Amino acid sequence: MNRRQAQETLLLYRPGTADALDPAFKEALEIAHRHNELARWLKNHCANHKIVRGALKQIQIPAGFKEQILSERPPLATSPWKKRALVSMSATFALFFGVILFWQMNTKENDSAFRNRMVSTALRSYGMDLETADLNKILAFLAEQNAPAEIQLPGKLHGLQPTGCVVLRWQNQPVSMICFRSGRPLSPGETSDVFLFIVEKSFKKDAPQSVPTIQKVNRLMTASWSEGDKSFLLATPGSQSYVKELL
Amino acid sequence: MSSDLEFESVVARFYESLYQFAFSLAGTESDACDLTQQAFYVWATKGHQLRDGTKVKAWLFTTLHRTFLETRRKQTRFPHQELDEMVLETLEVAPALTSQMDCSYVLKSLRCLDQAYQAPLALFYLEDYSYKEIAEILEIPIGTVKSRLARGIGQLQNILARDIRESEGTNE
Repeated sequence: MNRRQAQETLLLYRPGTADALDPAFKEALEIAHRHNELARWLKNHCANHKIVRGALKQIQIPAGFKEQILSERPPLATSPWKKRALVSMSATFALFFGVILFWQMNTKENDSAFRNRMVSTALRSYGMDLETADLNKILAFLAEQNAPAEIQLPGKLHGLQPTGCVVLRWQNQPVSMICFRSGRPLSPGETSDVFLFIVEKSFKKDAPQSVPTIQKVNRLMTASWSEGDKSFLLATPGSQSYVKELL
Repeated sequence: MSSDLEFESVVARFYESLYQFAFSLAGTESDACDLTQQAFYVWATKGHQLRDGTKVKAWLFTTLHRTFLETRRKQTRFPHQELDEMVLETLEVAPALTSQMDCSYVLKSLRCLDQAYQAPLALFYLEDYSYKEIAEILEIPIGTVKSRLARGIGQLQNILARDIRESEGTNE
């Protein structure tokens, strides 16, 4: 290995890792120690590596993210050996129990998971199924799609300008997402900043109470409540007091 | 150990490093959250198919990277590339960066690079994977990993050094 080849090799060298045990790096490091210029280059390279690595390691994990992942956990798949063990048990009982359990796991999702999923949808780019400022057209469209549409908008939401709607799926059931513009300044590329999600109450085993529960999720403040046969979730950037004003 | 506890354990061990990798690729908190959550979702539904328990982390990284590529609709296979003269030129200089460089500055520069270099570089700096492991995670040949890393490091250092020179020039 000549000096040039050693430098090429050392470009991929990471100080403080198992790279130092690799024979190719070892040889290149020995050559670098014999050449002053290459040694200086290597010193800079190692310092740069530590700085870039240190900077990337500063990426902050959002607060409560682990809990969010756990709350959105889907039903866990069963490994093949566990399946065989189950089959060896009483077949009728196991099948019956399995069907009941599977059904429960697929239908029982908590309100927190619903909030997280809907907020996540609102925060990322979503395509409007219908763009209009006419609330009647939005409700008619949602009804055509068999999504929840027979609703009374709460409080000050009436005063906001609708921008459109999306039909989402949650646990294989339709969810209506109606978007509004509050009149506050919007970020570039955004057309809406208030989102109302509606789902049939019967689809949620732990549907919220009639008194709204307010909670911050990710960057949005949310309020969830039930009224009649529907469950509602309101999400918007802003404070608790702003959300209360809208209800 | 129940499956629930296994899932919680896997999440607790790897969610931070997966999120950092996702953020370095996607650049926004919401996209990084989505990518990380999707990786764990796939783990919950298909993870039992993985026989080798020591490869859970690499499996999650691969899944996350695949999801990222799908979302970006990057289906083009990049050809294997050897080091060329352009890379060799970058070997001439290893500009001294400043220790004041913060995360957003480096991430901004990382995203200025060709997209093919971003994932290998993120794994290179964030994790201590061997080049063979990076190749397995990204599902590309090891030679391609090395050439992309060499090009990527050179480009990144040049971008950072140029920005530092420009900011120093502005301050003077």
